[in-house]
Amino acid sequence: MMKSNLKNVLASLKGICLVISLLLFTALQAQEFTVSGVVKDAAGKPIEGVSVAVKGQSAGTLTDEKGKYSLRVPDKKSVIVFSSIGYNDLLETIGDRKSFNPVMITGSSNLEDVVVVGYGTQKKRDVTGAITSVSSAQIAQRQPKDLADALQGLAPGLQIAQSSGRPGADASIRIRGIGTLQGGADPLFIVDGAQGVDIAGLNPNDIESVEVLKDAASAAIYGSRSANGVIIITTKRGREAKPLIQVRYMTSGSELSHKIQQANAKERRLYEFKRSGGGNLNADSLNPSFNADNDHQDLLTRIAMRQQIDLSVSGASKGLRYYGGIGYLDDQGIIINSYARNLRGRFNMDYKPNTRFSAGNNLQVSYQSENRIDDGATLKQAIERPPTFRIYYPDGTLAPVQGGRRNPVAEALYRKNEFEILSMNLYTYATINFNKDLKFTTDANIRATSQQNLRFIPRLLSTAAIPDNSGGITNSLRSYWMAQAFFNYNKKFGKDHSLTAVLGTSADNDFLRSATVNGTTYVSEEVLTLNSPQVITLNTSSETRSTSLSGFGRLGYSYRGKYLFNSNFRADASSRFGKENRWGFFPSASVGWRFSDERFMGWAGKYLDEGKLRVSYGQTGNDRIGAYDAIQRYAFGDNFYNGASGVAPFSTFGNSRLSWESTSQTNIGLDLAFLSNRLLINIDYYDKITDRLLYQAPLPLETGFNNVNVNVGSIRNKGLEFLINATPIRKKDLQWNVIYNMSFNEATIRSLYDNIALRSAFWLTEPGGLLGNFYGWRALGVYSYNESNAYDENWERLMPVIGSNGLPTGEYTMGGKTYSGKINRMYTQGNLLRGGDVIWDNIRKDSVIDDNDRMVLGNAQPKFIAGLSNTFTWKGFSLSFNFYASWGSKIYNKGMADLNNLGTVNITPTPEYIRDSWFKPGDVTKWYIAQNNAMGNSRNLSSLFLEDASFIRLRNLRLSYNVPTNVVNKMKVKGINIFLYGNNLLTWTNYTWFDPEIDFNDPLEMGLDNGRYPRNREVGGGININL
Amino acid sequence: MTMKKISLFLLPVAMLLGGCEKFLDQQPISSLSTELFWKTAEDARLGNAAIYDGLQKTLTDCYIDWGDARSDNFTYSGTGDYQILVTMNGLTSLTSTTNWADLYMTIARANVAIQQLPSVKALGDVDRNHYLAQAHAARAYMYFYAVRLWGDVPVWTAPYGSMNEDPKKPRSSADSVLNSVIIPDLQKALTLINKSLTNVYEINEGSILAMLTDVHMWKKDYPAALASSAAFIALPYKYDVNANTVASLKNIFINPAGNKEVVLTLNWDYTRDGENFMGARLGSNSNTSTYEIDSSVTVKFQADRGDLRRWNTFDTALWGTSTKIAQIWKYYDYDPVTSKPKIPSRIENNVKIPLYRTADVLLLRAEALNRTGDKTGAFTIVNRIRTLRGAKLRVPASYTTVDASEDAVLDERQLELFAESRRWFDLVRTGRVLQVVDPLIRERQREQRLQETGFTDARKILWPISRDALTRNPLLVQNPPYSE
Repeated sequence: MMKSNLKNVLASLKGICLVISLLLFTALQAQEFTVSGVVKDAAGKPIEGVSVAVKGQSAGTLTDEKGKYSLRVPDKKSVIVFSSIGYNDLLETIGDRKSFNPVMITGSSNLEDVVVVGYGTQKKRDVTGAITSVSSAQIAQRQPKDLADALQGLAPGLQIAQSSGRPGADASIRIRGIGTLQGGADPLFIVDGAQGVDIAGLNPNDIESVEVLKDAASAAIYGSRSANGVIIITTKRGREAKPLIQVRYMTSGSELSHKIQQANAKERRLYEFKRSGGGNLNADSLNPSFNADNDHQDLLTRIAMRQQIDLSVSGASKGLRYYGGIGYLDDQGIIINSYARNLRGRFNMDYKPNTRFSAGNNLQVSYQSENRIDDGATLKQAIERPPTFRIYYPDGTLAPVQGGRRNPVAEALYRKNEFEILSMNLYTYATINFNKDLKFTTDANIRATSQQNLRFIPRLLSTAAIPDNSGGITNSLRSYWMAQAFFNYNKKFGKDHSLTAVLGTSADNDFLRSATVNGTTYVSEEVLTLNSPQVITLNTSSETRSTSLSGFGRLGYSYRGKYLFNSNFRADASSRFGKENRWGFFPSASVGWRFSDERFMGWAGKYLDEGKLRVSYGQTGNDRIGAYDAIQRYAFGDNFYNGASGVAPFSTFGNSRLSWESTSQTNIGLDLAFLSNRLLINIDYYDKITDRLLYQAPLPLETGFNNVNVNVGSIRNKGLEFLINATPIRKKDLQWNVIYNMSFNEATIRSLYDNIALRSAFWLTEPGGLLGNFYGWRALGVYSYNESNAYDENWERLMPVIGSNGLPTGEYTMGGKTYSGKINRMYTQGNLLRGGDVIWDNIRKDSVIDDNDRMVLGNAQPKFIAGLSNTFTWKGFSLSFNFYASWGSKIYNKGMADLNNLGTVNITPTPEYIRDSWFKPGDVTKWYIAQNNAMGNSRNLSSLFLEDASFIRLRNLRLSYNVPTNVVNKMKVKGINIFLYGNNLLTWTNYTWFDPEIDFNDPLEMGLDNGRYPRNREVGGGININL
Repeated sequence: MTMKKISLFLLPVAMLLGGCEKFLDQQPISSLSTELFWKTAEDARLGNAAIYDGLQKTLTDCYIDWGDARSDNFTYSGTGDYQILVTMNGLTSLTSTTNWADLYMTIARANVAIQQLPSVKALGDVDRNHYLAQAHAARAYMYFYAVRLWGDVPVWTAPYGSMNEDPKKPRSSADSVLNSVIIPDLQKALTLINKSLTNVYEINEGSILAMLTDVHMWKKDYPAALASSAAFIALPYKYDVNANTVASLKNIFINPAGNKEVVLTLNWDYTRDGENFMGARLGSNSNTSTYEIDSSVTVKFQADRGDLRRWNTFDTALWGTSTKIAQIWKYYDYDPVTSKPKIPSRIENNVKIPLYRTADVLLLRAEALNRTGDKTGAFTIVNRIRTLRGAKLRVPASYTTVDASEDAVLDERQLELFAESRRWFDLVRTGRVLQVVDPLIRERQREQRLQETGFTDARKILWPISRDALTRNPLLVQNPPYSE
């Protein structure tokens, strides 16, 4: 293994040298001249708006209403590309001609595109599964920082949310909902055919295309890892003889997009007044520690700058293609002192000396350094800390912890949480064409990611009376290798029958090592390496390795491109499972019918260019559990007693019968293309059932174990998604393209282990219920008077009669009539509810608000998500914008719940709470008394803090200008594009905290907002130059 | 391209397919699979350490909350919900310390040791029996806490070992747990223990006899308690009370090793054992304590200013000031500079958790003597301790009834064993909860501007079973009247 890879490394090094010499010695020689002509269709009519460009140059021209064009070409060898929606692309080497009048053939340019599927490609017209493609042009419109940023809102069925606004933050990417509890819900990423590539180290500018494989039939070729869908990324490769050098630079500034309402000093004092029952206004007007009026959100955030520069070189010579890209991203966070700096490089080389053999290497290297600000120590403190507390001493130094509240500015500046990540990835392949039908490919991918996390809290931030510093370092290494070998067979029999087949095998090995050392009492706060702490506290270390082996195959048949059939099969074995249950088998089949090619559809030919019905069914799997969950184990390292390292059984019971989670999915899809492909519609309906759920089922605590890994239970995801791509205007100077996509999904639990519901303080996950059901008490208001706590025999609430003195008379009415029956009172947590306490919905009709009164209060899953993108092109100008919407989900605003729970005097509630909280008998309000009286008025989970998280967001807006060719040519460059853009400019939502867009990483903990690092609003601009 | 180069690429794949099963057989790297453990004498030592680690994990945040917080020793401090609920009889199934997860984890570790130790061939009989004795006693000790807190509890005396086994068991009656599990376990431990070892950090013969005394007292089996305590006193090691200075009194808590006043204590080292949650209860220099000393106790301490235990327990300078007294000084070493205890930050707390002391056994014996008609014997013990601690002697003649004498013994236990997880169980054992705690709760309710309901229901002396435990095991039935 190592030997062959070493060879490949050497081979690629040779390649790099070759390219460098090419760059150095290839002289550019200009012999420019102009070509002109008229473009017509088969019927002889001139076509307007055809794009005419020299291949490899972005700047080109468009035909006018008479089909005329005129284009400067560099030399005789130039190839001119004519392209227009609805027609097949036409490529012509111009030679000596000064004039050329091409005829373009109607075609389905969009559907002629090639789609990358597992272990091969397919023509888009032959696709029978549910696959969405995203092109580099679509990605380029949004100046993305990473892959998730590039894809959000572009593909139906793809739900993406950034976990926070922190620079370098990861995102959750979900395809068609969540079909697992703990088996891992991330899709499988394949980069240029390889698994295990570091996605964070991938520069979105290096991406040529992205394919999202959504249904089981498409994904099943990846078997055990494909249950959450597959995202196939193809990176850019060289195309042209001459090197194309692209330089991109952009810069932007961003700010906190939504500031939340926070109490000022006056409101804080009102709160203290109310909390003390009106007596004690604890304002020492002379103490400088308590008389500030700070806006902590302003103090803690800033206008953050982002700069990104990318350089790429690509080209080809005889038998050799290359693409090299390097990008540097310097991204400041809006919280002071937070940053992520990213250097990402890629080199792709393909070598094809003859028609029989080809080989290549892709090398990806990335280095990232980051200061991840602790949200809890900064932002949460900034919201909680009384505005009256000072941040700075008069001499300008930062104030320490005061009244148990941290100084958020000091925390942001001096607490360190630094990450350094170095990641390398080398992919090598070789292909042999035995004949024109049969091809053999073998490839290997090796990845190594090394990460260091340094944490340090200096004395200044210590909460102890005798301050001490503390910190630690975690080092981790992930190494991964994968090797594959497979045959491709493509054969056309006669005119009508074509056959495709794939047969192959693969193996991989994933190794993780991490070690943490923590210490206190550093020798010096200037030296943070591990020789500095004088006291070393608990160290941890862990290593895991998992391996898998697979065999796979595909068979495809097409009759005249009209009747299509595809079938995949994969067998996988994983080391994670019990010996007897290692192998899993994942079959799939799909059929397609291009009904538009049927003779009886002839009548529709005028409008309908393309009509295809797709039906697929398949099984996919999930193996993402712990490496040794099937093994009963003993743990040590954190069971010390009296100097001995105790060895004790793992709290999770090992289950040797553990096996694959399997997902069966049915997909029915329809592809339609109308009006010379100016209107494209894709609709997909799916029904996805996950069986044998892998999750940690709770065990009775009396067994001494916390849980057991099982595969029992089932989840169903049902949904509908569609995409409409329309080009309402297609003129020479003005074009308008609009793409709308929308997805509906609903995830329901069908069954669980022993049918025991998973119940936590926030969620109820039970058979028959939806995933993400919030579970808690419903608040109906606040008792105005002590006497308002009165109920009749049926536990209907009675209204107290208020006398002329404004006090209750002790009499009650029921439905307007005087009540004379027995009066019941309501209790909770052992005490009688009084004026100012919350009126809870008494589900079980009894005298106590307790556990039995909890109910499902809402759900964290959105009813639908949608994306709308528009592109207007007018001459060299292009305006694009897109909206992203997520509708119908709920968020538990824990940030606000923590603020308004009154548990600590020095946490300042929201201004609304301070103003409106119950203060004296007779007050009618939704906010309870400002006192922690152990009545659980702010208990978790209360409907008071459950908010609607629907939003519509102007995701981005971009205006760009292509400098005209004649100007550009004078500057001796091939093209210049200048742009201005804005991200996250507008959001329409009723959600009150920072941001309604929330990640959904853990299906058992969906929709909880702790008050994360907020998202920013970004405005920037840049320039792209093609040399 | 030549076939040679092709085969080079094929080689790794061929190699992999050849060693297929071996390749897929991955064993844990940084943990042990079950088959590899319980082989050597060292394994036995480390498996035994895991049981004590379980005791630490269970007691670090429950020692005070289970044994003191609901009694008259403490009241809530600060404004947190949790401590208000605990000190005002507002426990619900969602209160964190109602969860018995760690307690049963410790029992499970003891069960594993009891199951596996006989098969460790590398172990000599003396060592094996000593380890077995510790496992049996630790299990008994955890069940003893369980029956005192929840009454009836499920019983597991062997580890849960297979997915085919039903993990759900109903509750067994408290009496049957006492008589069929706890007492047999302790008696077995007594026969197996290595009688020559007296290390205070590990279960020894003295601590087993102390536990037996405690258990018999709980059962009100006074003759048996007297027998166990007599056996304890007669041990050749000669446990004794002798601390008669502030320094020697403090040594009971900070230097227990070799101290005849100490029978069993859990050692703590925060660099290895992690954060000790005792700090949040007994005082830290970084956080507000969960509880403060209830003034009804400080009044008792203040009544006798010569009593060294007063100085040793709290900062007497704060008496009568508006500052709340939350730091329990006896657990912390003196700082020679300030001549006050050095209170560490919460995470750097190394407080050792005392499980049994000689004074505890002697005072239990006094209680038993009083109940069996030997009032003189009872007061001899009480006054012996009082003399040592510098307190005024009690005059037996002024206690005219058995109950009054018992009050005197209980008062002595409260002062001597303050914040040592004793007071609540003393009140429950002697049926004094309502009498002592009800007025305090009424006072706290007035302070909180709540309706004055008092302790409300004697059935609430038992703790509720946690919601978590009820959900996981549908065979469990909640203690009435708890419904929350």
